[in-house]
Amino acid sequence: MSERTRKELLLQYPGVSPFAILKADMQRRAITYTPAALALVDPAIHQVEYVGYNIDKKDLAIPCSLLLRDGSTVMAAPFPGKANPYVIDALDGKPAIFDGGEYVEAAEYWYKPAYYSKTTSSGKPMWQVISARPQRLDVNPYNFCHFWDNGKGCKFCAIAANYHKHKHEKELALDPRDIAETVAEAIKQPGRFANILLTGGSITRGETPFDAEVENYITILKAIGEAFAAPRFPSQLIATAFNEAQLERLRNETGLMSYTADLEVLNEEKFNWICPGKAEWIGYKEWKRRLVAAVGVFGRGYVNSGIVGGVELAQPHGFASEAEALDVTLTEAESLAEQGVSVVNCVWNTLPGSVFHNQTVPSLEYYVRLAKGLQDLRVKYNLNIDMDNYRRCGNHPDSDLAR
Amino acid sequence: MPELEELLRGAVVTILATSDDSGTPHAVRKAHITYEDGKLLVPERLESGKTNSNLVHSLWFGRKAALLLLLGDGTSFAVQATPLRVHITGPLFERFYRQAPVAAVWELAPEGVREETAAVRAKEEAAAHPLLLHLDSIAKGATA
Ligand code: SF4
Repeated sequence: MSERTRKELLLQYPGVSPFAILKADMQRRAITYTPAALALVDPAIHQVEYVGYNIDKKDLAIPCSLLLRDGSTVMAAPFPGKANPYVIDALDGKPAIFDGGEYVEAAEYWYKPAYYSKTTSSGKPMWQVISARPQRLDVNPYNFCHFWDNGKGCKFCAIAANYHKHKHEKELALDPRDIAETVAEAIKQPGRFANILLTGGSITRGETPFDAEVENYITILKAIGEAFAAPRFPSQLIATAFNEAQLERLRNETGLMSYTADLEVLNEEKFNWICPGKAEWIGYKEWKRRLVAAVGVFGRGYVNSGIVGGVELAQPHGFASEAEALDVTLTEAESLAEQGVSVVNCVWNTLPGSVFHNQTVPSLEYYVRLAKGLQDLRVKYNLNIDMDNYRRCGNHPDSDLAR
Repeated sequence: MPELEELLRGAVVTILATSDDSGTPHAVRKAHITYEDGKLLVPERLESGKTNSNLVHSLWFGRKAALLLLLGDGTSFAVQATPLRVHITGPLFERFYRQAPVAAVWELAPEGVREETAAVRAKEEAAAHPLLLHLDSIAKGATA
């Protein structure tokens, strides 16, 4: 597959949203902000991150991320070492996206939710308890992954590096009461949130492996549930692939509505290399089997699996060609779709602190074909992806196409 | 011709027509469309509905929508409009949401207003195409 530009791909794939193509390219190439674009940031209104961030010291405020005109979220950030990022500049007093000096699209900074200025009864700033996306509350109750206990975490993942970097200022685990209070406060803002996501690192402990992780999520989901009049609330858990008994507990004891267990890479041999902890504790075939079992518990359209599209091409053990990687990935995604499990893609970022930080990401065309291929499978097997769509998540170019 | 803002205020029925990727049209009655800063603001209640989907795809692929306004005095007006942007979060979205739960607020750019009242259109077409009629309609003693 030769490297085609975004403009060429727009012509070659006229049925694919130009916004999804732009988003995928911004994610793989990263972005940078000009001083004029940063001058438009108002931390009183916008949701920001601080460069050189720590709890006590706030340096330069940069926008958390961007929104496009079609309501798509672009989770992209400045990224050291990226040679050719998209540039966010100011145009007529508004943020705009430029590529090679040429105007591409308008952009909007995310708005800060009202709860960000509140504190919990324990005195914790709520923005430190739960972060927000444009329509989602992101709860990360556990900031370490025990697949790293013996160094077998996923090779694209930086959770362990981030944990060690921030462990003096960020606790390992959140207090469920702080989470519950923050959710209760956040949902007072009319129209601001449509989904609650829970995700964190794998906790291997327990009588049956991962019982401790399940228990933690049950405690938190029950506490969150106190804020709702209905027994179930729009929510997604991205977690380890649990066994049937653990899944039943999550379904029966909490208001959870959808479940995700990320296979990350859709090939057993590459999975074993890239996700050795998942391979050691559960294994590729069993992970898949558990996803299908989860459909029996949560229902069709309420279970999916995330992949980090492109990692299957990492070297030296990844696929040698994009064509082969795509073919294998979509064939495997089809076997899951047939059984009611949707696959969603996250564009691979070679994160600093991850084993794969020096790798090269695939072409934009790879992501366009992957997005189209995954969405075509959902259409073929009549799988809806409301649980992880442009609004309830916003990080998957493929589910952006489901609108 | 009255201003668009005035027409929207006076409309007793407003119909929004959109189309999908295959060109299939879809028309629905829409309430609460407003006009602000030169743009039409269309609140959409159903996130998964056909109108919302058609507007998203119209924004992606450069298609237009059409609005038909029926006024209390029997006149009607048509407006073509280009989807510019959808608000699914943020201050404008929340302003509409507080009035009534909505899934989205669409910003459409109106492109000219055309009167569609039957008698007015008949007069215009008769002037532009005098050959296009049936002879009996102009026969001596014809009533129409
Ligand atoms: S399972 Fe893999 S991707 Fe998930 S937190 Fe652990 S190491 Fe990271």
